[in-house]
Amino acid sequence: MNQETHIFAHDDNNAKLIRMAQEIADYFHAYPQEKAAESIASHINHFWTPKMREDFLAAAEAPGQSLTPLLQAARGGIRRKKIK
Amino acid sequence: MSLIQEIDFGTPIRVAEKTVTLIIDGEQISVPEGTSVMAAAMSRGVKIPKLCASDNLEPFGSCRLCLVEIEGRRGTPASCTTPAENGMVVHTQNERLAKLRRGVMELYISDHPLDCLTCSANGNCELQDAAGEVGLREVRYGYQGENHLQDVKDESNPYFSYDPSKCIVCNRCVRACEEVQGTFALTIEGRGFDSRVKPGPTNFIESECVSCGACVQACPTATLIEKSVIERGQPEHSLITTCAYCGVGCSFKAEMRGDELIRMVPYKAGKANEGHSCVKGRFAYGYATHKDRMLKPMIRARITDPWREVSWEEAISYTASELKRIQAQYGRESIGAITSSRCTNEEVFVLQKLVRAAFRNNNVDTCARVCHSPTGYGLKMTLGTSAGTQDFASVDDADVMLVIGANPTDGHPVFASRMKKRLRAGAKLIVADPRSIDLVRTPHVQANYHLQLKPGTNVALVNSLAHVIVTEGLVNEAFVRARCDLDEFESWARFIALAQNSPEEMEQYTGVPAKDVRAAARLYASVRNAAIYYGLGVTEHSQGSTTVMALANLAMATGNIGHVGAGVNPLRGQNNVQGSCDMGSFPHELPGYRHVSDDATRETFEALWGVEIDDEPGLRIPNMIDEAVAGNYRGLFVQGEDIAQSDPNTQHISSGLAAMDCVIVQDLFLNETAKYAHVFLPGCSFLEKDGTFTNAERRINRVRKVMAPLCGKDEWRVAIELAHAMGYEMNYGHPSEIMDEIAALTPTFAGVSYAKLDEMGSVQWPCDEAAPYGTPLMHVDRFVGGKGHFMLTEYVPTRERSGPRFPLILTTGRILSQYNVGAQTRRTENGFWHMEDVLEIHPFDAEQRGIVDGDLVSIVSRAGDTALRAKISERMQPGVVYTTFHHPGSGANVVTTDNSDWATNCPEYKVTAVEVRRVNALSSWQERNAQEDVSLRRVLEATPDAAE
Repeated sequence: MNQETHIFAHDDNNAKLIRMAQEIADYFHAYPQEKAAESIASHINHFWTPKMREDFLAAAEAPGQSLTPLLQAARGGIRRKKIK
Repeated sequence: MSLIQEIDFGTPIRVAEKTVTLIIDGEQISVPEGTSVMAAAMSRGVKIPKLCASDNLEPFGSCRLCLVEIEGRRGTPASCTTPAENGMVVHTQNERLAKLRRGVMELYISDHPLDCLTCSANGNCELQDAAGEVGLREVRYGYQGENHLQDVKDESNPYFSYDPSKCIVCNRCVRACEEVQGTFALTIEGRGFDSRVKPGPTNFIESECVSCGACVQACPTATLIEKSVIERGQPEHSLITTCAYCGVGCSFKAEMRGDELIRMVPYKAGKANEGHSCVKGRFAYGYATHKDRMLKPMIRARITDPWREVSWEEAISYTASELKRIQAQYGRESIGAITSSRCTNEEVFVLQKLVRAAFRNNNVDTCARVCHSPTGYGLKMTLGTSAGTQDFASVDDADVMLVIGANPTDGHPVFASRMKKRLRAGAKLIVADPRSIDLVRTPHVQANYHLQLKPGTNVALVNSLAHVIVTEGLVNEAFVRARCDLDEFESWARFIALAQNSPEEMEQYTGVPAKDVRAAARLYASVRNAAIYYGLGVTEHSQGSTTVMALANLAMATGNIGHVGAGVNPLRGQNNVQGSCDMGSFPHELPGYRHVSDDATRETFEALWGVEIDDEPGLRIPNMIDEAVAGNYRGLFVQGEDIAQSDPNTQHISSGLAAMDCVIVQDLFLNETAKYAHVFLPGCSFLEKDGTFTNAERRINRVRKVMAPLCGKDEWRVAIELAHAMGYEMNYGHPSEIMDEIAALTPTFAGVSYAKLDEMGSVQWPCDEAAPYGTPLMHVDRFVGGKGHFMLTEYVPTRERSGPRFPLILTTGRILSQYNVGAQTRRTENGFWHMEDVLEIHPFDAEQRGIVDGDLVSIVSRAGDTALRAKISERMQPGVVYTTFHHPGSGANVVTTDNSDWATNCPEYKVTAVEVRRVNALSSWQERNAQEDVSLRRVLEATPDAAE
């Protein structure tokens, strides 16, 4: 696999992570905002690898990327990768 | 070792509170009320001669051989149809009875060939035994008269033969088909002398027979007999083991002659199947010794190289060095493993231990990811533990069954027979399925409601059922108040009562008439015992976990938890889905469903394993593939799975596999995934294993080795040797020692040991100090976590939408004769029933496209395209097409997308927007795949010193 393919796959992965996070947010949307945001972050912390979380947070900050307000609210609760 | 012989009491053993006491042949005997005289006698070892009686069938009283004398009664009643009563005095043997029985036997034998010495049932024939028991010495009638000795054999079934010349018309086969299997394929045609067993108008294979083998097992002669016995002779020893197909986990006697398997006979004492079987477990074991089995380890540097056979030492050493090299170059997280639900608990346990302790990460996942991971999540969030609530026997008390997204007659046939028996006895049935599955209408069973919803709308449907229950005052308030978190319930009740969840509002999504939903909800909530059974039609959706939680909500709201006849019951697809999940195969959980971030749990494992365990979750299978495509994930050990065929979006999966440096496949066959592998490690069939499987009812069953591993090495040893080569020691001498470690580390398995399994036959977890004999029924007095938790389940339509480009919805499933990717069943005679995957399409959709039955059609989705033969079928509603994925060349998963469940990433196999058109050629993927079948599977000729 060449470098170009890897870069494309990286972008594709980030888009997928945003989509996955949004789908989690869609589920918790039925809950009150504060609980929903907390639950979204907790779910991501519970099931995603540190790298996936970091990639998501980086992708979320990328120019032009807009998250739904609920997902935006959940961002702060997502645990950062530990420095080992 | 000898042949295990089970006692046949002649009539079913009754359960009753009252007992009756009678005297049989001078001995006083007490038995439960309702027991027959025949069974009462047998309970003390007094065998009354019989031919038409068997204790898995209701008494019939036709053979007239089991006649007895009862003091004070006239005549000689049949002991099988006479209930034991208090004070009865019964004589089973005297000169009068002997004479009568000899007379009866004489008549039977006068129309039966006297070829005992060359008969395939010689030594295992009840007619032969009965003739001996009654002392028959001559047949006065001769063979000159009219007889059936020239009747022609029916050899149409690939697994068994029907020889009417040997039939005594005892009716056992007909009754087994009706009472045990529930198919009603057989009948007795004609009257008097002309009476013959008939499988419909032609022969067995063209009849409705499902080849479960119940008739063969019931036959007291060689009339219906396994072809394997005809060809190879009677078995001489046997061991009890567990079927390696679906999640029912049937117990079988593996009957052997030397080290050759002669036949698999369902074990009556097996608690999951109670002596019944299906075509797969009973007959489809030929794959275990199929010529395609790969028995030598092989390696290659590139997937385009031919395979080279090597010794086990070289294979293990090469694998370890590659994995270490990858980790050194790309980091600790760059490798991982996938465990298999077809493997034993012990094999799965050591593989996840290999990952956590030797790879030093949590990148381990299991094939349950793509089937029941939403069950794990959904049931844990609501009921507190990731497992079904009941045992199979519970269905015998169900008043209403809600079967949703499951096709039990095809996927879990032995349990389906049990369901049908209960339904014939009067239980009501609600089927929620886009397809008209057999259970909707089958002999003597008809669903009260078939809620034929559109694929992808499960949540909308279950919410609307719950809406009716809440708004019509059908909630079991006493249960909810006592057992559930009240704040959560109230929040849920407010949500579900919203008009948006009403059947009338949801009808636009589900397509199910609101009045049917209302009636079905009332039916479900109106009885004491309502049971939910569900399958992959629930889980394999973008809202799979939501539906599981919605079903649990429904059961809790109506108090259908904690008592027999009720519950929420996932029907697991593969034999050890439950077990592989229990054993810590998920990347976020250690064995026993405890999160890796839990310090106390981790410390327990670390203390025993002597190594620090990562406290962060690892990659799931889809994430592994994504990371592989991105170049970050480089090494994968795949245990007994075939992700290149079974997982969705095949081209993405194969891209991920092709991007890795080292893919290790441990399997029986060079499967599709092995095309992309660099190391092939031969696996063992279930016949070559000691271990345990855990079935859908949490029942831990023993798997026993009946023949030595053909590849020369137990599978569990491979993980240990690989760990050793990577610098981590695991020391086990036998799988029982692995189970001891599982018990030591997993609270729900604390009381499990091989000694206990040998003593009890099987045990259902939790099995611990509080429940030393296991737990058939969960959540009886309290939920595992204390209270039951209602979760909100808003309907969120899938992103996968039909439209002008892709106007149809494709949904996938399985059929009776094939299993999963077909690796096992395709290598048996089961191929006879299903030579290829076909596309079922409604006549309306077919006509619009000019498609007729048998046309080659392309199925095109956003992910890819493939071509299959069309089968016109009204099982589907217009707008929905259906196929199976049992044949690799079909490429069903080339079409499915990478959409997945929001909580678990379980793929959305059940909803893919497609277009279907007539074509005259296979797809380019299929052509390329056929070429790669050859180019990526080449094996170099073995050199004399290469293999062990």
